[in-house]
Amino acid sequence: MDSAGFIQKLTDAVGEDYIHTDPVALRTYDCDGLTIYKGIPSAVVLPETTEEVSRIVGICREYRVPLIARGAGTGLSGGATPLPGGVLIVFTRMNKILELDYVNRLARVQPGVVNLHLSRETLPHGFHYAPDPSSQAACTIGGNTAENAGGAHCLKYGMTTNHILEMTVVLPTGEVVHLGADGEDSPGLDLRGFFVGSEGTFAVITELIVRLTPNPESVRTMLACFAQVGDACRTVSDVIAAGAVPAAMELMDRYTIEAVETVVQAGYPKDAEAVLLIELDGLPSSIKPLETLIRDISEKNNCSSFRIAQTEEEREGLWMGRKKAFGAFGVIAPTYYCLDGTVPRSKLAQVLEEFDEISARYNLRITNVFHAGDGSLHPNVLFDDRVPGETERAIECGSEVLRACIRAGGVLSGEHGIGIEKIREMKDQFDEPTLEIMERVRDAIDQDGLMNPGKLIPDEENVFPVALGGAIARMGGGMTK
Amino acid sequence: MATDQKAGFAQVFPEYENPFVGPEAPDREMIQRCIHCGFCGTSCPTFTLLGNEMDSPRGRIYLMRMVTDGEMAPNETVMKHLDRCLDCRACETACPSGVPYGSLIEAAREGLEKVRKRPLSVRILRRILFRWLLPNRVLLNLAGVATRLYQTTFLKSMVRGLGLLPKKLAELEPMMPEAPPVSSMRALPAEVAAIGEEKYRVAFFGGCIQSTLFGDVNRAAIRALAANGVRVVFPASQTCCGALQAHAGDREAARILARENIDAIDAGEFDAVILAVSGCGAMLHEYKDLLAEDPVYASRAEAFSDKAMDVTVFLARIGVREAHHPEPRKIAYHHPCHLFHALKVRKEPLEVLSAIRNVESVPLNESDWCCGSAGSYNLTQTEISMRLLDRKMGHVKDSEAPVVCTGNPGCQIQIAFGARERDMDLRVVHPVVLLDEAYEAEGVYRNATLP
Repeated sequence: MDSAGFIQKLTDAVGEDYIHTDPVALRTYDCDGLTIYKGIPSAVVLPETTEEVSRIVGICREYRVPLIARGAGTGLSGGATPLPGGVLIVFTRMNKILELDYVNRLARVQPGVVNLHLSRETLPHGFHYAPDPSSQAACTIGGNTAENAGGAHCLKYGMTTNHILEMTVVLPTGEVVHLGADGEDSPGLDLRGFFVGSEGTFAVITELIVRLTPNPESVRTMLACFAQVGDACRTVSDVIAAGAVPAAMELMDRYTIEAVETVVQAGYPKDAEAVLLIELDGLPSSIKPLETLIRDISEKNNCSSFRIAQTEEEREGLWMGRKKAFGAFGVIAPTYYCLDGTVPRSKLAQVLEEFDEISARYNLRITNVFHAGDGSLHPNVLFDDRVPGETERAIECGSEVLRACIRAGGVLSGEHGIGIEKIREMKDQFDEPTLEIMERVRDAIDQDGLMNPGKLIPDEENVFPVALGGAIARMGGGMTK
Repeated sequence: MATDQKAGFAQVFPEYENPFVGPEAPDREMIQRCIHCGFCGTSCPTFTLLGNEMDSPRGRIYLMRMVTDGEMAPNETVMKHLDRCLDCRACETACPSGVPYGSLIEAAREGLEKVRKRPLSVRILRRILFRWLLPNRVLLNLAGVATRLYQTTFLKSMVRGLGLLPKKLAELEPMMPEAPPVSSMRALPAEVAAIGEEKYRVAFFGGCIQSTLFGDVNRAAIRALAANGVRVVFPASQTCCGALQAHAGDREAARILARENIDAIDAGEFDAVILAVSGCGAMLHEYKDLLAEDPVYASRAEAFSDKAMDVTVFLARIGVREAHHPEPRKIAYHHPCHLFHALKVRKEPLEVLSAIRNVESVPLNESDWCCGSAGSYNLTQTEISMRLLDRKMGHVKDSEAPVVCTGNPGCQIQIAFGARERDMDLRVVHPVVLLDEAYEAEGVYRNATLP
């Protein structure tokens, strides 16, 4: 391949200030929030417009170079990890809110807009963007859409896909198409739903119309503490079974409490085995009976204390602990591996017990902090990547955790996406014909196999090289993080 | 371990020595604390402006990690991106893992100085500035007087008119702060008695540039302290705090100055060591880390750091005396990075301002964002600094406040320059100065002997 010519064309497309080919620069892009797998791209480009993206895609196609899109690089399944030698399209410059339409309750945004920045802009006008991943202060709406991200409040408000109305994407051919419509329904095939969560394997998103949600009239946030994790889990399923749908219901175990309290002092009791952070929102008159119901159910399940945030500051403090929980693991362990298997609520207690057993067998600590209300687990395998062999052991341990979720009737991923991380386990989740139809759909859109290859759908011909044959060979000589 | 690391590095990069070895190098354990979550990105002004991973805290830590581990040479690209860091430490506020980024970047800069090829002239200039000029009150005042002369006589218009300055200097010249009259550079009195009952006794730390350019702020702080029942002692043998040196990679110079200051001020004798200059305040707090390996000074440095306190914090803690300002006005408060992010001083300056009746604090968007001053950053990374200033001045304009309050001379100089450039009628002032004006107008100082 004429790589000088290739780089020159990319440079012409975006301008020389917005392409990186220096090895030092490229190295910093070798992974996203999942640090176990790495790949170094051949170039990083930072386009500013849909037209520039279309040109980049055309050039990559001409030279048959794979391309990978990246927002903030906070993803946890390796969705933005570059295929070695591929071109990474970074959206940090396409970060503008283009239009806010409060009458029709929608916003037109570029994909690089940071999730929380949109809400910050619209909150004073009575609206917010509902999906709220823990990384919302940093992650982008484009990345959220590619991975169909969730968040604490998705229990009541739905996942990202429920909030994306229309998307502009650049197809592998370089053509620009608009999917969906800015209304509630659009005629024809629901291609919008089809592309949300496709992890960049179909197309590159360059513009979005998203739904704005009215701010709740009032909010009540409470913390229920338990001496047994099982009691906390039963509380969760009892609450939902009783017909209540809180805005959020989050569970944190003892290790998480310890880590959080070390870093942010959220006010969680250190002697509890589990805490439930529950939030109700809506009209004050509708919240009151729910609050009583939840308190009664918690007490029936032996909760040791029950506290309702009295001030906005107290409420923010309680949430701060939850939002910073993952980062806090950096304090109690050198490295962690965060999974996101999801199980039916009724199986929560049973699956957590199974995790304990797996943890003991691998001699690696597993902590739990998760969206309990919808059974979306976040088991974290703590390990030290500097100990030879421990990374591989953590990956195997994680794989067993995921298989336990599938056995319990759950799914591989609740919100982080499959990426490279869970691609092996796709075969545990789906049977042959199901995987085959997924593959055929993808191949129909991405005929040259250049769109984020080796991710999401297992494919014998297109395996991400670092995970070849199931054996894990890490790139770059033993680095995680 | 260190020797292995050194030998391994030499094998891979024979043309470089590993700059990050030894006790003063970036702490590998603390680098490991970064879990690569990326939450810091949006808090980082340079990442927000430039959009490059290498210009984000996460990316910079990654670079440090790779150089430390011998996987990357400390080449010009590495330096470029580490140099672009403002050291504003906003990422520490955002970081959920408690990575002490400020100490990592400063250790990295010290290390990089070992391998950096600077032209002789620059090395000489740095040495003169860091080791001679800043720690020397007489020289510094002379420079202040010279600046004053230049700015108030025909010299400025002549130099500008004839285009006498080289390009880079001509670009920087307008950023020069307005030097005050010589009278404001005079030394502070050795001791000022409390007005009324003496409740506290503190040592006052003047700061080098502060004493030359903002001597009036120091005097206002001392008067306001006296009005709150505080006896203020000014130990004369104190010197420059070493902050600019440390930020620029000359931590050895900072250590020398730290020892001098610890010797000059017997912190144990006072209720607190007070400053009205937040950049120096953060540095005094860091003496304990800077001298942690020093067998003689380690414990004294710790005691010293624990006593250092911003004047607004001290006043807020003792319950600041209220006063009425003669002119009603709206003010916007800009948080100096080292006060907000490094020392986590957030509410106290606003508490002091709220003790001044007639002064109304209005919201300032991104008030906790760096203004681009950042030590000598505006001189070394002028383009990025000016883009940050532009953003800051836009928010100041939107706030519609005619006064910006902020507690650091660097921010004051930068924002005042921004206002001059934009023909804005803006007063930039330390919070304690407004308090002092209110006390003065109320007659609190009548019959007292004050500076």
